[in-house]
Amino acid sequence: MKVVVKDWHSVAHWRWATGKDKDKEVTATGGADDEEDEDDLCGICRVPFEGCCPNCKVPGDDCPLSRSMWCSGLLACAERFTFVPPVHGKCTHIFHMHCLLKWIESAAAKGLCPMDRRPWETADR
Amino acid sequence: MNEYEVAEDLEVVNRMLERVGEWWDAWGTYVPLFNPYLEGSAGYRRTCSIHLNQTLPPSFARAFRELILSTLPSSDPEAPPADPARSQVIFTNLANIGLLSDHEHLMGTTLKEFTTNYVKENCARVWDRQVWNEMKDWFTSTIQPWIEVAYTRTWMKTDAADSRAVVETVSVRYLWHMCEALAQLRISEIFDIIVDYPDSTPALNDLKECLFQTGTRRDLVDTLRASTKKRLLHPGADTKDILTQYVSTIRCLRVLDPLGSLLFSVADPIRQYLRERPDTIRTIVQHLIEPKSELIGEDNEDIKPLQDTSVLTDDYGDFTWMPEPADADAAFRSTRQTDIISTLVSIYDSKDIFVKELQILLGKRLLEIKDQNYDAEIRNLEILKLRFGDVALQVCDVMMKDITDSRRSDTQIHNLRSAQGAGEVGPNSLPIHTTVISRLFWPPVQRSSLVMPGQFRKMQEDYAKAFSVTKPDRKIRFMANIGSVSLDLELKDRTVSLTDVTPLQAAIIELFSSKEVWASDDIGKELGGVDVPSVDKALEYWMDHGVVKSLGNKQFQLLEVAEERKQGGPRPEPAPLTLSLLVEESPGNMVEAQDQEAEQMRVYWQFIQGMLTNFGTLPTDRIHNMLKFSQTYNKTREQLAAFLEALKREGLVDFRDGTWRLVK
Repeated sequence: MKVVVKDWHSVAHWRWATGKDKDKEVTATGGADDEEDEDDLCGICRVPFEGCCPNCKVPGDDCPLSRSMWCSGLLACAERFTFVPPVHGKCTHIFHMHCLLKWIESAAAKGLCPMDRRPWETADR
Repeated sequence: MNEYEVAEDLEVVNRMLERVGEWWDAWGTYVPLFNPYLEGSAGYRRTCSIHLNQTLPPSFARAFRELILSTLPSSDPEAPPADPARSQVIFTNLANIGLLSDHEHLMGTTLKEFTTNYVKENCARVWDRQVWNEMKDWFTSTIQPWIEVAYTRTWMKTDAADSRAVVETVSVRYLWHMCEALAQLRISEIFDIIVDYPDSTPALNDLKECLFQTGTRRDLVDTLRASTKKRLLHPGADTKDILTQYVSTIRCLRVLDPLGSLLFSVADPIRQYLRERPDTIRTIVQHLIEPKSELIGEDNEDIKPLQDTSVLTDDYGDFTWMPEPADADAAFRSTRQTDIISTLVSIYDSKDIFVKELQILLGKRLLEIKDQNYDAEIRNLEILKLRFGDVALQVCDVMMKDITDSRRSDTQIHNLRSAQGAGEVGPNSLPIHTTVISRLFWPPVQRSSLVMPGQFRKMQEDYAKAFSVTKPDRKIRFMANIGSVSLDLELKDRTVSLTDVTPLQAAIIELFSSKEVWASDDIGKELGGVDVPSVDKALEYWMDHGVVKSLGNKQFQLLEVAEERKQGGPRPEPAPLTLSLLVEESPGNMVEAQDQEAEQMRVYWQFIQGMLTNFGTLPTDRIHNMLKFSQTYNKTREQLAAFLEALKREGLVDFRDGTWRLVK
């Protein structure tokens, strides 16, 4: 017997490709494992990445994320300001772009990442 | 008088009175001859009347009343009309003997009873025209001449000009009694009048006039509260009916009393009761969204923002300020004029619940739309934004944007794939259309561990890859338990073509394409841990279509060759219908509502049977249209479809090629 699919209307939800769950398959098949961990929040505004920053109304391409190039694994390193390029981009800090821009422009920031106080440099995709 | 008691004939009384009158007159002329010390005829009359009254037995009162009634125009069309000449004679006699003045009270009472009975008989439940004016006309034309005759011509012996004035004063009293009778009558019927609104508007206008003249507002409020409590606010009444009745009550009482103080007293118990019902919000919200809702009706022309009913400011600069009505409730403010929707929403203290319910409803409807026609929803959303404000419905905005975006990206993905030549699969390589949503902004969805097997999985993977290409920073995760599949099953001897298959059912049948016999536990495991009851339900769906057979012991076999369906064979109990599995606030509701409606629709089964016998096969739409011709049919097309599905499970009808037919 052959099943020929004529049409399939399905529903999916999108997530930012933050690169955090590389060990799972790319095509997430909606397993019961709950990937909505509470840690997936923007560090500045405490809103999940899939939501928008407080200034925007709509999430998505209008309110993208931006990540830093620094690897937070460096905290163990004694040389706190040594630059080490990220290998897989696994441990970089991610924020809403708008949140980050507001932070960088404010005087107290001095251009440092809010999480680990390293000079901020945006990673290119 | 003894004769009268035996024969009950008015003529007897008549003659008696005449005779008494004659005697009286006759004696009257002789008395002064006997006794010059009596003060003329006045003394004589007094003595005579004393004697007369002493001799008259108690049944005379009844006789008198009957006599009077006989002179009045009777409401019985059979009886002979009252003869004015005869009435005149009777009254002349009565006046001469002095009985009229003694029994004035009795006469008044009789007349009052007569007029009020007339009102009651002729106006009970007559609501389609204004009866008060008719009553007044009747009074002027029939009763007033009688009053003239009875009171003035014979008794007071006044002349024509003064008699008019006397008649007027007397009439006013009786008119007032009639008015009160009509008011009481309408008040006792008020609940039904409200039910019949707007057909009963003339009755309301009548009542308004009568209320104005008589002081029966308190009665109205009390009666209405009591009847509402008894007939409406009990567990047997449907929330929708209560809401409809509430809105009709508002409209009716606004007609009766523009200030709204009556409404305030009556509506309070209804609001309290509605607040306790769990599905009130959903019903109200559904009515807000429906394009032609009779709840909202004509007030919808100018849609103002929802008025905030909790803010009450007294306007001290208003020079036309009047105090509140004297019988209004303590908490009533006449400045609080709101439209119906604001009133409904104000049952609950905050708008948030409504907004949340709206979101859930909108989400459900958007996901169920397959033909990409979202205009109606957009329009509704705009209207609701006017009412609730932009901020509250921002989430709904995001939902709509999601839908349009995913439509666009869907087209993009398909164009991309066809541009790439679609590789190793056929031209319809990716028949999957996905609506991509932002999880946080949509109502929460039931999570399921369903993993789609075989070709479905491949389709999902391909689509996800293509999506990541079109939107570089994002990836998608499928919610496999939502959606609908339309597929063809190519079996050895036939092709079964189906639409609206749920993904779970599609997954199961896909498993059967790899292996012929499965146990339901194995199916569950293969699909990633789906629980056995859901698997069983889906298997029943396939069994109904004759594709799968149960081998007993939880084993199921694919039927390549169609088997004869045994008519008397054991059938599984009809399962609740498998609908899309979006979680609702109270999922148990769906099943119960369907059971109720199934019972109701048994009646229509007869009609459907007849139709199908005559026409052979019919699509659902035609059945629906034909059933609409009968007056009592008020179901929607979806309800009809659900009922037909239930019938299919019982083996009474069959659905092939988009039409229904009877199973022989």
